[in-house]
Amino acid sequence: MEEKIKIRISPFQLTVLIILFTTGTTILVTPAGMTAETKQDAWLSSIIGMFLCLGYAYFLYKCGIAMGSKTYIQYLEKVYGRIVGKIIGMLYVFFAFIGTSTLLSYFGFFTTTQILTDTPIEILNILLVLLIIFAVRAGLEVIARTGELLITWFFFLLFALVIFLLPELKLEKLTPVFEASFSDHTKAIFNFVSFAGFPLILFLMFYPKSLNQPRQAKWNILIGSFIGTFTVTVITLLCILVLGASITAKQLYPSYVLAKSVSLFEIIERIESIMASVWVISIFFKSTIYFYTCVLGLAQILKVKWYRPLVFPLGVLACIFSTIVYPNIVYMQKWDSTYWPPYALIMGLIIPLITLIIDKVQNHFRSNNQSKGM
Amino acid sequence: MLKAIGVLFIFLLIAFFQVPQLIKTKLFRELWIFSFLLFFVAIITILRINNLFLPNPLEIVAFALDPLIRLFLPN
Repeated sequence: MEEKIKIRISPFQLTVLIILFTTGTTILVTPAGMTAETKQDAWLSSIIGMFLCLGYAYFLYKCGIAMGSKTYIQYLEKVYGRIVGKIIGMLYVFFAFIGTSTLLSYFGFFTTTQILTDTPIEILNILLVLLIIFAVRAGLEVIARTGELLITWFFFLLFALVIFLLPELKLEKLTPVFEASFSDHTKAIFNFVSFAGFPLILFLMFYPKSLNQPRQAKWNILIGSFIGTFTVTVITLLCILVLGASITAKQLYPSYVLAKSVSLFEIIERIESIMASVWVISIFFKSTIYFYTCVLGLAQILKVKWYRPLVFPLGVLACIFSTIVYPNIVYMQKWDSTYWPPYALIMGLIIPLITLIIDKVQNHFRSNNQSKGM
Repeated sequence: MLKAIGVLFIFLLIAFFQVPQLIKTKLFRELWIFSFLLFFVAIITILRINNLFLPNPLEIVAFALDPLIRLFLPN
C-alpha cells in the first residue's frame, strides 16, 4: 500500500541531509584525532581531506548514475547474482546497524559525561532511539523537511559560536607551520575521510531513486559534501587557534571545550550548550539516516513491501546494542581509531568500486554479444 | 523474572498495534517477518536485562579486520 505513494525529496533537501550527515559526529570528535597526528598542522590535513571528500562525493554521483532507477541493494543483486548480492547487502545493513548503535552510544556518553551527569546512560539512549523510531516511521520526506527546518538553526548557532570566539584567537598557536611529516598527514587525512566521507555510501540506498530530479543532483551532492566538511575544517582550525594543538589532542570533545572558553565582555559566557545543541541536531540526523538505511536495506533484502513493521523491532535492537558496542570510552577511542577507518574504507570505497568495475565489464561484454548476434 | 514479564508486556503492546494493521492490509509475509523479528528481539532484550552474555558486533568486525590491518601496518 505504501509502495504506490512514491517517496520523493528535492535535491536541496538532499544537500541539507548530506551536510547534517557529514558534520554529525565529525564536528565533535575528529579535531582531537587529527591534532593527535599532525599537531598544529591539522587544518592542512583537514583541507586536503575536504577535497578528497569532494572527489568521493563525485564518485557517489557516478555510482548513482550507474545504478539508474535501482536501489543499491537491487544493483548489488543485479551485478553479483541473487545470493551473493543479498549477502553483500546484509553487510551494508550490518554497517548501518553498527552505525546506529554506536551513534546512540556516542550521544549517551557525551550527555552523561558533560551535561546530565547523574542520568543513567540507558535512559538517554532510549530517549534518542524513540525519537529516531518516530522519525523513521514518518518516512524520508518528513526527515528531509525537518532537516530543512533545523539547518538554519544549525548554521545560525555555529556562526554565533565562531563570532564569539574571534577575540580569543591567537595566531601564534599555528606556528611552526608545515612541521608534520607526510605519513602523519596520511593518517590524519584517512581518519578525516573515514568519518566525513565514506559513511555517505549509505545515501546510495535511497539517493537516485527517491529524488524528484535525479539528473540535477550532481552539484547538490558536491556542495553538500563541501559545506559539511568545510564546517568541520573551520571548527578544527578554531580548536587549534584557541586551545592550541596539544590541549585539543588531549580532549575527548575538543569543540565542546572550545565553546566553554568563550568569554565576551564578561557578559556572554558558558555558551557550550550552543555547541551541544548543534551537535545533538546533527547527531539526530546522522543516526536517523543510518537507521533509515538499515531498515530500508533489510526491507529490500527480504523483499518486504512495507518497511514500517521492521522499524520498532530494529530500533529496540539498536538500543540494546548501544549499551554493548562500547563498554567504555577507552574502548570507543581505540576502536574508532584502529578499526573504523579500514572498515569504512572497505564498505565505502572498495566494495562499490569493485561493483562498478564488474558492472562496466558485464555491460561491455553484453553489448559486444548483442552486436555479434545481429 | 518481573523484568522479563515487563519486557514481554511492552513487546505485546507493540504487536497489539502492529498486527491488526498487517492483517487488515493482507501482508501475511510481512506479518511472519515482523513476528519472527519481534520474537528474536524479545529474547535478546531479556538476555540483556539479565546481564547474560551477548556478542559485541564491533568485536566481530575487529576480528575480521585484524589480519588485514596486520598486513598493511606490520608494527
